[in-house]
Amino acid sequence: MDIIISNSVDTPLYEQVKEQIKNKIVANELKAGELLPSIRSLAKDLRISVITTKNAYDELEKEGYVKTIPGKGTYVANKNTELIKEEQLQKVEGLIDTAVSIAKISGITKKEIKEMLDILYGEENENKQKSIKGRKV
Amino acid sequence: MANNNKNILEVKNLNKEYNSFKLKDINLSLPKGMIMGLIGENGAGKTTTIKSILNLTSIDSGEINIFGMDMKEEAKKIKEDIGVVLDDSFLSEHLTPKDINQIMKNIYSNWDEDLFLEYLKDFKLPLKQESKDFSSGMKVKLKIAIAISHYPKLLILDEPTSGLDPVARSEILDIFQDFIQDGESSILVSSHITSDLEHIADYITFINDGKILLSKTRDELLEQFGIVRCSKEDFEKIDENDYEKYKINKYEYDVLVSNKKEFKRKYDFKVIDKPTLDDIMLIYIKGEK
Amino acid sequence: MNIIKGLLIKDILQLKSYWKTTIIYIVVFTLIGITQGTSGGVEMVIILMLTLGFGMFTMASFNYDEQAKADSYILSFPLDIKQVLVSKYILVISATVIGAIVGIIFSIIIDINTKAFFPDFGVLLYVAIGSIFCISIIEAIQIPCIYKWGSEKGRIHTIIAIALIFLIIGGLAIISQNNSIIFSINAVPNAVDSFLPIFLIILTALIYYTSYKFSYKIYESK
Repeated sequence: MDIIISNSVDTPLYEQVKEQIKNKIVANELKAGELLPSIRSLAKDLRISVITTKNAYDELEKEGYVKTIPGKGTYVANKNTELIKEEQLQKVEGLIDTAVSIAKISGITKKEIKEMLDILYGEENENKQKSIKGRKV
Repeated sequence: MANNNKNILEVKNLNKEYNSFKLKDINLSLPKGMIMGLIGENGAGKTTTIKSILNLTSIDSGEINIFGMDMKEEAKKIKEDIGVVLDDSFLSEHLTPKDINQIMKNIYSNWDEDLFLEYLKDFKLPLKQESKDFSSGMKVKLKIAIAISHYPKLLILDEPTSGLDPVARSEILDIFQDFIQDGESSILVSSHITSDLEHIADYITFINDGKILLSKTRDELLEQFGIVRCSKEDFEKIDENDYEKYKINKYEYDVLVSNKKEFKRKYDFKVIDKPTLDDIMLIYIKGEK
Repeated sequence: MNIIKGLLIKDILQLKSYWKTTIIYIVVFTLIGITQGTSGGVEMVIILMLTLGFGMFTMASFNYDEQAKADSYILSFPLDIKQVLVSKYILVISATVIGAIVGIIFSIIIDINTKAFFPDFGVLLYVAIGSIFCISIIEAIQIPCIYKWGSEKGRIHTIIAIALIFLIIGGLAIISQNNSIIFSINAVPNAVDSFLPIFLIILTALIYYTSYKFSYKIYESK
C-alpha cells in the first residue's frame, strides 16, 4: 500500500494519511473486509507518531470507511455506496460553489461554465477520437 | 490510584533549585505506548528534569509516579523496569560490550543476554572491542542496546541523537518506534534537535528556563498552531487574546496562533504558515506578548 | 547481593588494563627481595609494599568511574547508594588483604630460596596484619576524600591528611619522649604472642567502618 507523506504541503499529516486510504477505498484498491495495518506498524512504516495515525483511523471510522474490532484490528468497512456517493457529491458541490463565486466576480456567464463542463466531460470522448482527428489534419 | 493506570509516568509539581538554576512546577504525564519528546534549548532544564525523574538528584518538592508507584518509596522496583540513556554519564570506555553483558547480568534480574547479543549484531557493534574506539553513533547504539535488553517498560533518554549524523539519527528513531510497538512501553526522550521528534513523538513537551511552556500532542501543536506573517498595521488589528506570542522581524511580524482554523475564520490574513517545532520554540523564546 | 557482584565485576573488568602493571610491580618487588634477601627485614618491606600496591591499584577504579562520570548512570540501576559504596569497600579491602597474602607467599618463597631461615608464619602474619592496618588508614582517608573532592584533589587532601597524622603522632612521640611508639614495629618478634594483632584487626575494621559512614554522608549529600 503506497501512502506518501509530504511535509511541504499545508495538509495535516493525519489528513494526508486519511485521504490516501480513503481514496484507495473509493477506488476499490482496498476492498471491503480487508485488514488494514495496525496503527503502530503503520506509524512505524510511515515514520509518523502513533497518535497521528490513530487520528487518521478515527476519522476514517467516523466517516464510515473502516471499522475497528477491538483486539483484532481495523478493517475496510462494507462499502455503503450511497454514503460515499453522498459525500463525494458534497465535495463536488463545494468545489462548484467556489467556481461559481469566482465566475460571478469575474463576469463569467453560466453558459460559459456549462460549456466548460461539457468540454471537461467530453474530454474522454475527445481523447478516443484524437487519433481520428489527427489523421484528418 | 486507579485513574493513573493509563499513564506510565506522572510528574506533579516538581520543583528544584540549585545554584542559580530553578525547575519550576514541572508537570508531565506520559501514557502507555507513547513517545514524549522533551525539547528546549541547552540549559533549559531537560537534563535536570530527567535526572530528577530518575531520582539521580534530590528535588525540593513534587511527586514522581512511575508505573503507579511513588519513586521515593519504590525506587529500586521502578528502576528494574526503566532503561536509561544519559548524555553525560556512562560506564568506563575501557569496557567492551562483552564486559558490559557480564556486569548487567547481575544488575537487572530481567537481563536477557541473548537479546543483548542480538541487538549488538543488529546494530553492528563488535563484542570484544573497548567502546572508546566506537564512533559516536555506535556509542549511542550501545547505550540503547543496554537500555532495552532487560525489557523495560519505560525508556528515558537524554539527548541520544546529539552529535550524530542524519543516518545514525534515523536508525535510532527506528529503534524507538520498534520499542513502542507492543503498545505497553513508552519513551521519554529529550533533544535539542527538534526535527528528530517532529514526526515520531506523540507528545511534545517544551521546556524553557526551567518551566514547561507547552505539553501537547504532536498533532495539536503542529497541525493546529500556525504562524501568521503580516504587516505592522495588520498586526494591530489582532485581538490580544487571539495569539500566543509575536516576534518582530525586519519586514514583517511573525505571530504565533494556537488555532489557525479559528484564526482564519475570524481574520482575513493571507499568510498563515504551518510551523515547525523550531519556529514555535523560537517565537516562544524570543517573542513578546 | 547480585548487584554488588555486578558492580565488583565492573570494577575488576575496568581495571584489567592495570593487571599488567600490577604483575610487573609484584615481579620487581620479588626480585628486589630475592637479591637483597639476606637481611631479615626484607619480608616486612615486601608485604607492606604489596599490600600498599594492591590497595592503591584498586583506587584506579575511582578514576575510571570519574572519567566516565559513571555516578548518575550507575544510580539509574535498580540499586541504592549503600550497595555502590559497599561494593567499593569490598573491592579495596579484599585487594588489600590479597596484597598482604601475596606478600606472605612471596616472603615464604624468598625465605626458602635464600635459606636464611625457615619462615616464621607468626611473624609474617603479624607483619601482614600490621601492613593492612597501616594501609587501611590511607585508604580509609582516601575514599571519602575522593567522594568529596574527586580523585585528583582527593589525593592531595589524602596526602595532607596523612602528613598531618604523622605530624601529630611524631609530635606526641616527642612530647612523650618515647620514640619507641613510632618504631615499635621493630619490636615485632617480641610482641607476636600479645593481644596486639587482634586489637589491630578490630581497629582496622573500625577504621573502615568509620570511613564508610563518612563516604555515605558525602555521597548522599551530592
